[in-house]
Amino acid sequence: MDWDWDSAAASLPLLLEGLLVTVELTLLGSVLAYALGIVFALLRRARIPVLSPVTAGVVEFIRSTPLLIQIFVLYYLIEPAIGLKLSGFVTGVIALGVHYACYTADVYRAGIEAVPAGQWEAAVALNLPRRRVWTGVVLPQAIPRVVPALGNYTISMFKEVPLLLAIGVLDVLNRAKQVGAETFRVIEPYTLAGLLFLVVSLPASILVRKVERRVGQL
Amino acid sequence: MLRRTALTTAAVLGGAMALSACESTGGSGGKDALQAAKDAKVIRIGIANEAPYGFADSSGRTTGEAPEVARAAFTELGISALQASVVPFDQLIPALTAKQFDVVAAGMNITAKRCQAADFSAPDYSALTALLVPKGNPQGVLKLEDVAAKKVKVAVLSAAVEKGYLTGAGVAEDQIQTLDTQDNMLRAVADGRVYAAALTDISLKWLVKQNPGAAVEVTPGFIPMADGKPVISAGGFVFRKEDDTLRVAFDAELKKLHDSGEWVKIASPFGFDESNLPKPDVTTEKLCTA
Amino acid sequence: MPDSYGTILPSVLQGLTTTVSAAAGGIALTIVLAFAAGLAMVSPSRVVRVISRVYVEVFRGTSEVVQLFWLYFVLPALVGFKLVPLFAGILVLGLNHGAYGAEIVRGAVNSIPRAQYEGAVALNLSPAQRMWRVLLPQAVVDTLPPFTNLFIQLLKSTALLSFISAGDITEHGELLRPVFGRDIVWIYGTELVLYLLLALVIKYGMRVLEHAGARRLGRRPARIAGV
Repeated sequence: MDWDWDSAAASLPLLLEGLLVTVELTLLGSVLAYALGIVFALLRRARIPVLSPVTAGVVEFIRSTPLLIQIFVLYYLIEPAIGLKLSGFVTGVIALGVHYACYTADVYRAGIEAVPAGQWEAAVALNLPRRRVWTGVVLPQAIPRVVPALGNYTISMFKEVPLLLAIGVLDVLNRAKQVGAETFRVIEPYTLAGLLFLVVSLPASILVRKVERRVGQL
Repeated sequence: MLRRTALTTAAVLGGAMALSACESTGGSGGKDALQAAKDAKVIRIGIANEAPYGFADSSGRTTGEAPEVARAAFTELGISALQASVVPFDQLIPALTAKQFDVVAAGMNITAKRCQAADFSAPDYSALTALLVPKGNPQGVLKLEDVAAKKVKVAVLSAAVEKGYLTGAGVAEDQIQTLDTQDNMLRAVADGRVYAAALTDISLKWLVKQNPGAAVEVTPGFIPMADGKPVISAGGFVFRKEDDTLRVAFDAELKKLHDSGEWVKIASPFGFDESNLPKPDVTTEKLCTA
Repeated sequence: MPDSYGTILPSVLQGLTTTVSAAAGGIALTIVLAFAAGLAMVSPSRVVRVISRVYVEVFRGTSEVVQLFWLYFVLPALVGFKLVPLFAGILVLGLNHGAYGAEIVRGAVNSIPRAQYEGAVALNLSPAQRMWRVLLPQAVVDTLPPFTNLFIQLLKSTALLSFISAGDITEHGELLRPVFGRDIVWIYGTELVLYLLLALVIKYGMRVLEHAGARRLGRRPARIAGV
């Protein structure tokens, strides 16, 4: 085996920088996905004449096509067309957020539909205003139940961040690629990159599973 | 019965696929690379689809300064055909070492670090460095030192020498964006994501020619400085360390092309002229130990 | 439609064979690994359970892109064998999605009513017969809906093969970008439509299988397992 510990140690600082970028992208993208997902879910449910079916169509379209192409479309087509010069990082947050919002929308939908019909009827019987029905009765019951599913999507997003190397974002994999290109040694940086992913995602998965068990007892 | 037939068919197909899935990395099967190429009458080259050094034209033909020079040299050795593999620039040497092809014909600068991984031919050309900037060059950036002084963002090609030149001129790491292809560099300048892109003047002039609608221009070429001294640079062809016979034979033909004036004829359609011929005192040994 | 579309469409279509081959090969490998590992995870042998669990956690816990780069760049450096890009892609697609598939299979096997298992024991069927003739056929039908989603995920992941120069749809589009910069919208539009059509093919194919499976088991189509 051709492993060079010195090489590995030398590449670690750069890789950790990349990991930080990866985590930042995941967190920001998740926030966007969680927020936008509710918007998509509510838009579909509201059954507004043109907006709802169009939203549903767009959401399906984004879910069924590769994220990589959506990143390219955003970076090379949409942004120059509307004059935005966003960095790869910001573009990445938007692309990840919008793409995963299409998945979280479905999660929210399932959560909302799981709220017993009796809750809705009671809220109406109590003459609660529409907004209050949602914020006071439905969402507080729907959302905790779907937190594990949301958590799993965040972990999935974390693992799809490396796609952004296609637009020059310096995530952990891109850093590994840089190290490989400059030192001509590929074994250490790529293996370390893989291990770094495990180091973050395994504890995260265990955490989500714990939350799932807790929520299941609600 | 049906299940058993299904399983056996799957096993047979799977086995056949598994066999065809691997290529051993000894492409020439242990034979000397030069002999293998002569026998097959084909030399496998690696290019990065970067014009005008090595790329595929609209008809799909492999062309560019390096492939055409290689074609001329190898024809003299009895090898008339080129088989090109396109890989990203920063994978050329790794792919060469992995025996995906036998020569890199992509206009690669001879540097000490690359010499550790592979062996270069004699210097083939030398080119000046230049910057691609927005039309009109509003910030007046003409040299690498200007990039450092004005603190603008600059793009470089992954694993290319310009990054070293920039950091040597005092440009901060976070000003530099590393991109994978020349086209992405052009796009980055045209879209305003970076102010400048650093590459050889020949590449940048060709890029501008191919993209007449883009609002960009090329600064005059210059020689970058390192430690107060001008950087001597030259580009060449790359061979695996063990392929000495191939490299030596190629060098002999390359020298003939340079000396006879043939080289200038072959390279001029791509924007090269006599000024790009390597100076006599610039040798591969010197560049490798720089 | 711009004049250049006459060149854009055939060029992008050139990637279709690679994408379809990668998807088909990936799906085949996924099925094999999903059932192998999924059944291994419910095996009575502790060693077998641990090995399969490790496989599933490693491949689900790391990024598919990283796996691809590792297999394509690091493996040749370690063992001297270089995989042809398409097969490296199929291998990663299969290994990665097989790990997710294993969980689906495990869930499906575990959700078969206990009565089926007990009935098989009562009828004196050997463990192998029990699995092969009673439990597995029912489990397979239950896995079809979640596998549909998994296979569409796999199809989308074939776009990653553009990173290793395998010649898929996405890569061909990117090669066109320098030449047809003005018509980017047509390049990406065509790519997206192609992926969408392929996804529909998978969806309908799986639906046919679902109906056939439900008919053979003598019950209506399976509920969708999980949210």
